[in-house]
Amino acid sequence: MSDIKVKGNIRDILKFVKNIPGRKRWINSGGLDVDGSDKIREFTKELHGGMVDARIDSIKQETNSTRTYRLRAVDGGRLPFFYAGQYISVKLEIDGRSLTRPYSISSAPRDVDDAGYLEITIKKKKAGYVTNYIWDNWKEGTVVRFDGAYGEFWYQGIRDQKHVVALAGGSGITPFRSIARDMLSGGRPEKLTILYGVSDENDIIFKDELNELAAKSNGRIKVHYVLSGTSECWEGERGFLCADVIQKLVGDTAGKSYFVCGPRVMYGYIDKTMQELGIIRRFVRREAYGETDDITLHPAFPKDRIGKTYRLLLKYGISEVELTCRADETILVSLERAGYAMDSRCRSGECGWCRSYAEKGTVWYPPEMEGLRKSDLDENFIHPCSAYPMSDIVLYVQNQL
Amino acid sequence: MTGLKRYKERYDVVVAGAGFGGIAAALRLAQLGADVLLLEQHNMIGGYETSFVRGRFEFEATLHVLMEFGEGLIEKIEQGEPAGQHGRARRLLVEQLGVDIEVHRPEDMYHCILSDYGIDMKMPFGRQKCIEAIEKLSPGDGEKMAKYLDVCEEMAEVLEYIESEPKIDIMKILKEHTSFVRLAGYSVAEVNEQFGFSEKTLQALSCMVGFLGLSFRVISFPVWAVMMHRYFMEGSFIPEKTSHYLANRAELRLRELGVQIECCAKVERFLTKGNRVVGVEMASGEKIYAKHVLCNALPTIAITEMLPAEFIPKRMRKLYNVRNLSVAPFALYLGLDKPAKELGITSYEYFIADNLDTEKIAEVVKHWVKHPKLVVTCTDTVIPGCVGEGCCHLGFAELYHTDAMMEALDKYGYQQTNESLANHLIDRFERDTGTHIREHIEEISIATPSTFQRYANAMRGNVYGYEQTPVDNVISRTLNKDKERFIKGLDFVGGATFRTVGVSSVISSGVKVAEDVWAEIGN
Repeated sequence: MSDIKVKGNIRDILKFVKNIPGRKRWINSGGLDVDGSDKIREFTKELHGGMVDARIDSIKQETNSTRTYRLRAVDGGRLPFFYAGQYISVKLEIDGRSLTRPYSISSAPRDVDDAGYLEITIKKKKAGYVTNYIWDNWKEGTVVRFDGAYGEFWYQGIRDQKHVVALAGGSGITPFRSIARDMLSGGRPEKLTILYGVSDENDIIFKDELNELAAKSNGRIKVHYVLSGTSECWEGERGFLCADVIQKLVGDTAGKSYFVCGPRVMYGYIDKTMQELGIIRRFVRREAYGETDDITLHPAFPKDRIGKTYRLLLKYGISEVELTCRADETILVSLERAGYAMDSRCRSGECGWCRSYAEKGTVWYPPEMEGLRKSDLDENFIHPCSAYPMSDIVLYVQNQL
Repeated sequence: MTGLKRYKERYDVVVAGAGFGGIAAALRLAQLGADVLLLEQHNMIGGYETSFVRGRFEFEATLHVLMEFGEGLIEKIEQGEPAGQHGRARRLLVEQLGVDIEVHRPEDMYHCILSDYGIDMKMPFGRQKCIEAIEKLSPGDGEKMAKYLDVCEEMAEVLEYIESEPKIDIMKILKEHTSFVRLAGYSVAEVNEQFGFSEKTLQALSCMVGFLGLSFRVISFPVWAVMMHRYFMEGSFIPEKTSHYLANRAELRLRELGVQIECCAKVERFLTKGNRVVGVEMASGEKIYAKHVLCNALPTIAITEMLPAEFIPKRMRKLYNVRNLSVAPFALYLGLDKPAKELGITSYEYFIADNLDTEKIAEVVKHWVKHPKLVVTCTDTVIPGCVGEGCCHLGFAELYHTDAMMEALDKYGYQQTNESLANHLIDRFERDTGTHIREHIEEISIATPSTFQRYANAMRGNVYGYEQTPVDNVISRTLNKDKERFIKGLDFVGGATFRTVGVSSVISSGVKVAEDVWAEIGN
């Protein structure tokens, strides 16, 4: 026992004992109002938004297969704040089934407050179930529901170099239009060199606009188009975004950050190119590729599973229902087909929003996928948007259906 | 609309909120035989015990160290002697509730670098080593340190008695534990001054204020003393794979015990009948009834948003009117593309500042400015390679006054403000540790009070419940616990309740509440 005293034996003991009635007095000194105000919560809502209903204000045909939809919030709603490079998650009902698609925002962040709109630019895929639906059904006046913005494909001053090289493929140009426009109203990076790979001259999205942005940028923005097709009258760069082309158009490749956005096949190619150029991971940012059209084309996909089907026992709350799933489709798609879609966002395995618990069964992920937590991998918590079933599955869906 | 039914109409207990308080209570209730529904507004359980992924890095979101997860007194273990009982949280979570987890102990308690005093020392675990380290730092203070640790031990013992006895005998405490009684009413500053430590020693001992974030004039001594004793003597621990792994392991156990877990399931309000809470109404509209409801949300939120106004007794209103919210964090997460060792990062937890004048610091952090005190962790130093081959991550966590960020609520300036606060932390860390980390940043993420509000519904971004002043510390709350159960059919769990914040505290209070509730409704 110690002999430490603060103000003397008796006074010290009284100090403690007095705390007991002291608490009573303290409580009694309180008023009857409890302050529930929360400015931080209001701010959070401003930063991150929630579900929004927005009306299509106008539609611009960018190329034969690409349209830009300008959205304005339906009365009383608020379009989200976002960072240039982020995406929204569009909620669709097609043939009575719910599903989602992530679309990069192609307008600038300030356009929301300054002009009251937000734009997404969508390329119609040849056999695209969803894009075909959008083509046929989204008209001026159609109300589109979405939430967001989400995503990590945005410039971070501490991490990224002042000069960003954009490696864009096809409709992967959309976030860079947002970034470029943002730069002209005070946004970063300091410099942006866009290398835009397309197959044909007619497929270049935003060509006039990008040229105009470059012209107005005091040399901060440069745009180069690289054509892979055989178009005869093209006088610009030809080929793919390979090491030689990048070196030729960028000059010194060191000391720059590389932002990559394009179709899935492009990523493997760019990885090799970056290796050739000796550009380490820290300088390469890759946008999530979103929905994969045909996973069987992935070199690592186990070919013996193509066309295989398995039983999927879906457990939701106190209910369960038995479904069929295909090895070459994600579990999320199988659920959506059956009409039991949970909410999803990135559809790339990155964000983890659809995370669910697979009590039984094994799944396959594309090896390059990032986003799973170590312990989730060990305990069989899965990301259904990117998980391909390799056996019968028992799945607890914890998100609301 | 899928037509699938999610909930039963009735459960024994509905737990609203799956932070570790809610989880522990649900585990215990299920173990006792209750039919339990555990609801969480986020898309997974765990509350602040969570992690997130950026690129190839999985970042620990909040946890620094676990307290009370040891296997006894470190000194005894090292000498091969009987080490006494395991830490309380380990006993409860692992041994009693059956959540199987692995934890690791850093080599030292912390590494403090206080430039005004030329202090750069690693504070070791274990009584004798600790005394020796203080003696080395400031010759002559070793003996005082021994005395200090004795006092801390006694405080811990009595607190454990107060917390574990169903009927607390105040007279017994008054008679048998005079030094506890003499010191329990004071602040840390008032007691520390009595030991005659050199200023250097006081500074080195003040580091863990970084966990509490308030001034030593406000923090009550027993709260501090118990923390000192438990960390220094029993060790601090980190989980094998971030705190998210704790939540996952708990979830598997909850499932094994038959608890129904639902996420993205926000409770909108509590249902009442007569003078009782009888269930919950979900944001999605369903009504679910229960014999008892537990709430892991902050009581202030329950009072102001989830219960009918006329339902709140006067005394409860007054209590939540006088209570102040505690602190709100700014956190910086860096994924570095080299292992810690190669970068020269050698300690798990760094405390870095000019000095630890806690009163002055508490004044500064009332504003959204560069934080004068750095708290930095690096898991790679404890579990090499845990982040991945060839990389590591650094976590910075700085506590501010709950209202500090209110000065900076500008969405267009948000990113740049965050960057400037973060740049300061990076510069300061590099300067004081002599390391170069800036050119190795592969991933970065920044969390502010707004982030904690977003994911965990933390009111005003506050993560520590209410300020633990001498009239409202763990002792006063525990002594008044039963009197302050204001609402029939509803109890609170989590860091805002009687055992206050921290994983170990909310586990033990959650278990206690579960047992009290089951004693009432179990038959």
